[in-house]
Amino acid sequence: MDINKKITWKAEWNIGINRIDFEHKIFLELIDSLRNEIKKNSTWEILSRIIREIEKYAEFHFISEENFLFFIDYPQYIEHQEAHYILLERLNIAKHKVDDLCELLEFIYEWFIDHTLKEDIKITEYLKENGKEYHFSKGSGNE
Amino acid sequence: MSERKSILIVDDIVENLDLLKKLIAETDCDIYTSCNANQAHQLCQKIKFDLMLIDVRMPGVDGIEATRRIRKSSINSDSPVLFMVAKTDLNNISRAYKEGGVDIITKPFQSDELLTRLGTHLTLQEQKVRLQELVDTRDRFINILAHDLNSPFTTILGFTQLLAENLESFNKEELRRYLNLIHNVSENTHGLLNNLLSWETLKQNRIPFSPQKVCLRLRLDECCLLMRSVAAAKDIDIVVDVDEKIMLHADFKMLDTILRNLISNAIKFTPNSKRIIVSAIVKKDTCEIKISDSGIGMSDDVKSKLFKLGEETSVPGTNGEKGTGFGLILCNEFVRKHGGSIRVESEVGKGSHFIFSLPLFYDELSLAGT
Ligand SMILES: Nc1ncnc2c1ncn2[C@@H]1O[C@H](COP(=O)(O)OP(=O)(O)O)[C@@H](O)[C@H]1O
Ligand SMILES: [Fe+2]
Repeated sequence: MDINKKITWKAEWNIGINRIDFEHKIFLELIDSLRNEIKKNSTWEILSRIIREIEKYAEFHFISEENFLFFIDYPQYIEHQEAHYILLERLNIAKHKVDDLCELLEFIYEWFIDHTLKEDIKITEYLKENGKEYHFSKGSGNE
Repeated sequence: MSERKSILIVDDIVENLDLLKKLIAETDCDIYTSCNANQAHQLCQKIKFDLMLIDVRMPGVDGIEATRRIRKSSINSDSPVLFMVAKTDLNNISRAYKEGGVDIITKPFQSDELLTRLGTHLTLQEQKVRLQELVDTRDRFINILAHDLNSPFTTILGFTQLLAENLESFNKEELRRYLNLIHNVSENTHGLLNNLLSWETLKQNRIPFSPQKVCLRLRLDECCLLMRSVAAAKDIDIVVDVDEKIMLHADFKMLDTILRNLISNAIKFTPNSKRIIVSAIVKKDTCEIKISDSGIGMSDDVKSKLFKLGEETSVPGTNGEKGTGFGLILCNEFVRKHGGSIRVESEVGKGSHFIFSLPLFYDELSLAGT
């Protein structure tokens, strides 16, 4: 991973659900902010503020995604939720071991991409296979 | 008061254990870790923890079930538990609160926040233990007042009435016997009252601790004089084999209390017509004082409970003398206040030696060994 290169969104990461894609993009922007501050050799105060923001956003995004899965009766709801817990656990370990900031950045980046590509993509597959419409709250699909 | 604290951390992820251990190392506590419920349960049988940090989500037996087991069957049934839960694991967060966790640490956590919370709960726990100790003392007091202070009055009231109403029908010898009996009961009760008062003032930190130069032999002689009639009633001889040159650096009121308690115990637990020996040896800058009897002795069970508040250990004396199990607790506190220590050597049926140490008065150090 090149610290000088801006992290930009790739079309292949789209899972086709607008709101989730939108949240994923914001997440990626946050990761890029962290990259930028590391590149600038910013103080720990600034870095830890951004790490905090990433944490908070992950928390928000996971709950938002879990709600969506709940509304579409996603069969692997529990497993996906588990995966989120494990991700938070790993983020916690990683952020306390910051001897190498680039390593932390790389970890968060991979952490995010890996989950998006492997787990979240399954959501689209499920929707397609079952010919399901999706919506973001219970019962709002019949408007 | 602040002794070293012990903390248990339970988490299935070894990296987490390492991380937490490293962070908590700052607090200067003894840290124990285990990566599953079974291991944790085993540790909890052996070590009393001041705080337990338990991860909820673990494969197999989870943290909440593990806590239930620990509480059900181990010495840690009321050690406080802090649960660790993933931030978004709302279900387990509410389970953890319902389970009576004192607090919850969500992951990811901030290290300073984690440490502050740990500190708070350690302090709370310390205060809780202290309060329990105070309540125990209070209970003990009320118990003693209600029961043990009541019974001597039965004797005193009964015999004084008997004497007052039938004075003319008794001869001198009989009168002396009854009066001695009343005196001895009063003496014992007075000793008990003194113990209660000393304990109370000590616990409220109102007792003045003013060590000064005291002659051990002089205090012993005075003590034996007071106890003479009680000992005589059982035909017990008290031999004091202590050099009068030994000068202690001690609070003489406390010293009197210690001697009075140990000697009266020796009399109490020794059958008629036996001997009690008080001796002292000088060791460097302390003096070891030994009170030996050839009485009933003690079982290991009784021995292990001495000096501690909590369980009552009192056993009646060889003539049915009542006690409160309070005297030795007081002796221990007083000896410790002087920086000394107290111990017991005893064998059932053979007798007991109570040995305690107190600092010597420094001017007299040169006399060591004489
Ligand atoms: N000299 C002794 N010989 C045998 N047992 C003793 C002796 N001194 C103390 N004990 C045991 O220790 C217990 C506690 O003693 P103490 O604290 O003085 O309370 P008390 O004498 O009022 O019961 C006694 O009840 C007795 O069982
Ligand atoms: Fe996800």
